[in-house]
Amino acid sequence: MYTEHEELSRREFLKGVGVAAAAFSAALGSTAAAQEAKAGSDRLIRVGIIGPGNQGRKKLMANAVRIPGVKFTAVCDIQSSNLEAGLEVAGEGAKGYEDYREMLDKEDFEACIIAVPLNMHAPLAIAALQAGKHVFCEKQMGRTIEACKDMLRAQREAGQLLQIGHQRRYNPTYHHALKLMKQGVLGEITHIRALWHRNGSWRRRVPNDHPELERLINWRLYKESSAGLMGELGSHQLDVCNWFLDSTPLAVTGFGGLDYWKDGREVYDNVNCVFEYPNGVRITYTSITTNAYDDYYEQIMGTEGTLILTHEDEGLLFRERRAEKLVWEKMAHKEEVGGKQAIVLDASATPKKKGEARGPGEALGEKGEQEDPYYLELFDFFRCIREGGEIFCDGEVGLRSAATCLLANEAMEKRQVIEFNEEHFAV
Amino acid sequence: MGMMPGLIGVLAFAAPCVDGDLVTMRVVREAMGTEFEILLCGRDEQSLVNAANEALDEVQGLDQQMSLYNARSELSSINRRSAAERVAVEPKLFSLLELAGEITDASRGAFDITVAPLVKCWGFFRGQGRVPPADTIAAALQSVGMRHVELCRPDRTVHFRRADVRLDLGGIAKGYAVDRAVEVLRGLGITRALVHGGQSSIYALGAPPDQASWTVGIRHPLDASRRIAVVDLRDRALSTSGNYEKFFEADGKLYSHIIDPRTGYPATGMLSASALGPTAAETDALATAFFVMGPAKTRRYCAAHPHIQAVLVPEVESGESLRLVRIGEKLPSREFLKEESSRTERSQ
Repeated sequence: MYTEHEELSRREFLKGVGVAAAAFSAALGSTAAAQEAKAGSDRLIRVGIIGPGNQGRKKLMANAVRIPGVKFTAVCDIQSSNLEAGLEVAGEGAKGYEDYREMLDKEDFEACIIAVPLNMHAPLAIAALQAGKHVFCEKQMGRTIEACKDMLRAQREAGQLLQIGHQRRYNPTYHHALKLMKQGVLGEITHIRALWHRNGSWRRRVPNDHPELERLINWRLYKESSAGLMGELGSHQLDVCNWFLDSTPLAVTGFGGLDYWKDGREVYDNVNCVFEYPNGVRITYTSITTNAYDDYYEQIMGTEGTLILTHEDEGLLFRERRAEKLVWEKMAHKEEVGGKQAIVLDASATPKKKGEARGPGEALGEKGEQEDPYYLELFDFFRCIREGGEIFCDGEVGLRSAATCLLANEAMEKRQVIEFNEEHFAV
Repeated sequence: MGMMPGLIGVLAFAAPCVDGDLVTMRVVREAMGTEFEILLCGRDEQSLVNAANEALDEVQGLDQQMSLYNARSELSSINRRSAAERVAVEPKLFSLLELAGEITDASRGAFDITVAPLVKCWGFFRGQGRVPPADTIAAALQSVGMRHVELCRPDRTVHFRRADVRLDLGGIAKGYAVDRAVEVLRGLGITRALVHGGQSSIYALGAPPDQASWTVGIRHPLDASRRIAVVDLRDRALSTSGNYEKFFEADGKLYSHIIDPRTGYPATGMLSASALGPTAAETDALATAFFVMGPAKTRRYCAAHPHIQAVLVPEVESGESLRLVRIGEKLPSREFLKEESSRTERSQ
């Protein structure tokens, strides 16, 4: 059922072939290239960033500068306030640019981080790949399925690495949850409910003296630059569903609307979808902006148990009454949650077998050590650059997750059932 | 943990807005184990709420970065790794560590972010109503002191010279978060706001409409329903340290919960200490330092740092009236305890 050290194999879309979550780290040291690359593990990687805004600077740069052997040498942003702030984080020796083409032309860095509005992901990533850079691109991969395919094509032609920023794929809590699932703790998975509910306009304030910045600062609210709630929030959670089920959907339908925040925006302020996956598995996804009671989580429901992953960092396991108790439960930490007995997952508590691969966090070392998933995803990106490793959240994964969300948007717009087919993923 | 809940009462915007177009919004969010509150004035309700939420998002981000209750926080990671290696630190956090070190120097060790082992020691024995034995305190003292912490500016790295050093930013984090929230508000064009974290550190941005400044009260250390002073604040921070309710009794004596990092024993002689200054990070740290230092040393500090002012309430014998020690030129205080202020001692 689940083997710890399965080799990375070419994934077959829609067929649910199991790929071990830890496979990419099993690849570490298993090839000659990796062995040689290890010798260069101390070399400095120079990095350029395009878009050191809220996400780019506060999450990505802030964590990247903590990683040994990484130095930002170039920073690019069309907004001077972001550019200045980004240069400060980058530190000594970094050069600033307003034009990304000029930066790619003149600067010799090895890795490029892209954290710009969604519609600019493809043009920038392609240009960076063609300029010979390894690329880390924020999620979701692209504004359209075609854009994602263009990026994947460019990556294959250039031969450089491409990683998409779905950071849950590097989160030890999720790896732990997946391992438990594969061990059969939940029984047969039949449903997943994922949601992200907030109460707020999602609108960022535009300085009074620069109203022309509206479409740039609030890019998430306009169709040209944004895939709306599905693209920004759903993509994280649907990516987890694809990952855990090792599949993409067969079909999707749903309703969305712009019903409350009628402030000139173009994207829906509430999305409500149902996805059909193989083997009768169905997933419901909602993201709303008028009530925050449920907060955000992925609830994985199986015949023997339920796993709820909340806030990206906590996992609660509830056993269905008829399930057998497993020995490991005694070691887990129990809590009362909502009147029910819940087992709180602690990713570091499971006793490790010697040599057992642990998932993306393994490279960081000791048992019990924890890190921010943004740190972990970037750490692994740079590790792959140094050691010639395989990217775990690569362009193929990114394409499938983006397509999942984009087709959901299409279903809502057309008020139809959209069937997924291989054309959507063929590059 | 470690942060003294506030003695500040907010009197702000008691005067209604005369300008019909201006509204005042209040947005509250939990972070750092307490409630952060933002009051802000402007024209557009929703726009003000959005701005406050962005500022509070910033606070939450800082909580995630600095919380010792979060094993994934950068600070937890720094504590785990810095004895064994030089650890690169996110630039703004690095600047905060430097600031904390500067305040340690300037206060001659009265404020120190390495004090956690001592706090833990006292916390453990307090649970049993006992004073820790002298040798236990001496042992904990070994690992306390910024001299054990190496901050290297060019590469922004931190390194501990001993394995048992532990950084805890509880004495400066809320003030710092208030400053960062204010920075966000300023960047969004907000000109009138009051931001506080747990009521113990507060920053007044601009002033409410038709007033020259925000008005903030400092609570009486022994009676939560009364104030000992009212200060006018404009583009200035105020922090208060010391909470009589958190004093504890052990072996028949009353001890404050603010430990003097130099002696290893709780500071004595003070009921509360407030600091005023240009940033809340500074005033947060200094309020603690002043509580430990006492009036004489605080006077010397303020003389050497004219941009800082203080309001101290020393301990008194039971039955005696409280007195205030106000330190600093042109301390912007308007009134203070009327009923009890038989004597106030003004110093510069």
